[in-house]
Amino acid sequence: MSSDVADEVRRLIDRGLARYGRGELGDAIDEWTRALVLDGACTEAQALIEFVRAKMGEGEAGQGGKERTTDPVLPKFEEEWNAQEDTDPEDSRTTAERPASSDRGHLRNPTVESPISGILAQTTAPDWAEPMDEDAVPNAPMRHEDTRKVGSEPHSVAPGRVPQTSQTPAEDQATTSRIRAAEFVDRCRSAFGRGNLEQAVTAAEAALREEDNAPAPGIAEVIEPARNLFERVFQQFIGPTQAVPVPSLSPEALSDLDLDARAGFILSRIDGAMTIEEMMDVAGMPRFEALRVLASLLRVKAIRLS
Amino acid sequence: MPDRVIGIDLGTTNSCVAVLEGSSPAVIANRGGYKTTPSVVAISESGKRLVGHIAKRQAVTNAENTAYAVKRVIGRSWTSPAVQTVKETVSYGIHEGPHQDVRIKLRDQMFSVPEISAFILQEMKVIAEEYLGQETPKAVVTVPAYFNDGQRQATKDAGRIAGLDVIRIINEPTAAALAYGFGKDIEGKIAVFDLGGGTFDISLLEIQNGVFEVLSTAGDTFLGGEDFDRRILDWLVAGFAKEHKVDLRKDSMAMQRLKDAAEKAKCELSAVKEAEINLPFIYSTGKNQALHLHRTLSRGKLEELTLDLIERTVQICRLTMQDAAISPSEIQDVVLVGGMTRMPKVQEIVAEFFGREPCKGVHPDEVVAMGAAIQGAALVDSERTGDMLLLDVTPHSLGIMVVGGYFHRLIERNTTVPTSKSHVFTTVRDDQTSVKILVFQGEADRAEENEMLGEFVLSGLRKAKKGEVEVEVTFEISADGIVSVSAKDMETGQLQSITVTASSGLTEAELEKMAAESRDFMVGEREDHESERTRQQVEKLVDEADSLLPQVQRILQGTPFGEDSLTSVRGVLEEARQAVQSRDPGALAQVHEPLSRALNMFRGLMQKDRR
Repeated sequence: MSSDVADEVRRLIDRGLARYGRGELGDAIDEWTRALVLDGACTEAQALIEFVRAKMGEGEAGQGGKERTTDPVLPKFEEEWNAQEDTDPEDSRTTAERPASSDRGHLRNPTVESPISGILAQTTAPDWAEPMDEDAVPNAPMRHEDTRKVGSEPHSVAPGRVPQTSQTPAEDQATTSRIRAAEFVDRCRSAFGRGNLEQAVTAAEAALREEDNAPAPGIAEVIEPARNLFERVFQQFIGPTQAVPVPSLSPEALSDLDLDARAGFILSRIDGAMTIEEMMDVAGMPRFEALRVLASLLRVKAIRLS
Repeated sequence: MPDRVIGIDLGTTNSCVAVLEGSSPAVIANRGGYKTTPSVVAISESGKRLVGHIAKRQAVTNAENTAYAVKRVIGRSWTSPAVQTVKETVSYGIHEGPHQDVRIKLRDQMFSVPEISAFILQEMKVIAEEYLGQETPKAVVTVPAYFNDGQRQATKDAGRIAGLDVIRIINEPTAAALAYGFGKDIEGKIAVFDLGGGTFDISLLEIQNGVFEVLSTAGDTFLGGEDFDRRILDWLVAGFAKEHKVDLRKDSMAMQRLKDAAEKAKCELSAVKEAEINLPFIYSTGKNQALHLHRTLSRGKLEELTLDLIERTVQICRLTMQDAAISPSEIQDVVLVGGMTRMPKVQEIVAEFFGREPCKGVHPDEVVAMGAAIQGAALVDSERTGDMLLLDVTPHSLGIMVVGGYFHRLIERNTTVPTSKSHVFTTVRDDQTSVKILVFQGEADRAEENEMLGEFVLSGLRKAKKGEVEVEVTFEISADGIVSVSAKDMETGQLQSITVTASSGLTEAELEKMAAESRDFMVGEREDHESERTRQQVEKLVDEADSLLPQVQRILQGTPFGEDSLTSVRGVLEEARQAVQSRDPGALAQVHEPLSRALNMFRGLMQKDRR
């Protein structure tokens, strides 16, 4: 295969991912199908088509109920997602009526104990976003050793659904990141549409973290089209920009959080008088990043607005 | 009732505004509750102008677009050594202006130095107006005693750009002495020891029968609290590098936090013996690990780090006293000005040098502005302040260039104004029919090393051998500091003269344009503020309407008018969302009312439904 064809295949896969990120599932499949026309052996395109088709089928099947299947590619986000949905006011089912998988208090802990890992720009994906071995019992309490780094183990994604290509481990990881990020974008949009801003922020953060951690060449084609959405999500979650952020945790409690230097800097600018809008001006980082950090700090209740 | 006049201390690092309330001066706090406002101006990434604390809090992370300590270059020409020194030390761009003046580049805009100062003065004006609830266009602004005519004029121009009528410029030490002596019956010599954020000044004054006279003044324009902060910062950076092998100087966010923390610790150490410096998450390593900085700085360590700086102030005091032929024992009181004078070691060294404890009855950060407010009130309503007379001195020697390029002083520096001095010169060539009078200001023996104030020619002299024709040159300085120079042919009585008009480097047209832009900016600011308030109201209404919409839909389901109403409301909601997104003031104002009506309808329906 010539390098031109390989480039075009790559472009089509990326375009498909971007479309997927925008919720255009049919169009995404079309792009990947074109990639397959050019390179019939492109297992990445095959895997993606299969994944999205399954998802579309799942969506149709899910019309009558809210239960989601646990996708091995994106399993643990599902865990938190469902954990958050436990409190979704639109979900009128009682806990007893929910599937057994709803009993996941232990799975919520990682996000509670390390809730702000999302704003660690260089961090690895949080535990709950790790792929899970398909053999693992979905509802069993998760042990630490159940989690693995994306792409670090051959069985980190399900056989048959993973691109079995000749890609390097880094490329594999980038592909997995793309898929996961696209899924998070989808979830962000959906939660935003339902007005569940906390879930939308969580998903946006997860998608951005995928980008932070993705190896070169990155996953910009998935993230960039979603930036406006994320910004709106962060902005709405934060609320009026004339509000004044104040710390809501003691310095000791703050230091227990998993923050990065950017969050540390934003926290250090809070003086009880400066508004959110003013914080944007002194943040020393692009507005989007400042909104992201502030939204994360609010989400983990490190700060509150007065 | 006479106009209110505000007093503004336009400092190198901080500014302060005060007004006479009843019979005592009151300092006005800014919106953040602080009584001083950093003299810092920045343009943010979004193009917004930031002034004061907010500008200071981003000064390191937006260093190229943050102007500070512009007072060091105000009214100076591009070629002056001070400008060249400042150019090498500041993080923002300093460029040559069209009239050999100095321009400052922030983002893509060029500003004159008076403009930057005007932004600060405008902020002080707003602070005062918010407090007084009325327009306060009149102000007295203070400047260092050594400021020359150009620097004073530039400060006046800054006031004009800011929409202020600067009715008087007074010297900072004079203002401090005024506040110190206000309402007291003080006679004798006092020293004003002013160690501020960026500069150090020592002035000796004599107060007699309500007359304040500056006897002598000197200082260092590059010695102040920021140098102390820098020593602490260096100590912190070195300690962190030793512990973690990380150079924080490469990280602007970390440096901003260190700078803030250094200043805070320094201030704390004036009251306590030890200060904790705790900066969590100051640095993120590539290994996803956040590093924290935690150190304890003792007062002793701070003194060790900064002892040479403190000693420099004493050396300058010693030279100034010698210059004025006054011994420390003649000084009846020492007034401390500037935040740095709170440092116990500074107070200790001052007490040691002058042989007496310095006066602690006046607030070092506020005393200058208070003095300016007292002077302001005295100028419009002497009944409230009693008889007061301020006598200032010329900060620099004045003279003319004589043969050989030498500088002949007619008025020595520290001469009390108003004053007048004459000297007779003769021609230097045979048959010389004219003389060119070149007027200079400064202390150098070579005329060219001083600042030229103006020139004129006296012609029509009698042809004679050199040295025979006499020309009398007279210098006059009025109480307002206006310098006039005349030359008279002693034989014929023919006279030529000039009035030296100080210039800030800006033309009248430029000044007018800047003042107009400044007025427009203030109007724009108010409009933006209004628009933002409307945007937030609309956003809130949209959120509430969105949350009620599903229930309203249910209530209206099946009613004959329901679908039409909902379609119309959805349209309004969509328009409102777009207006919020675009931040278009017109669209926001337009959508506000229909949106409120729609929401009221929703609320009414919900209420009815509940019944």
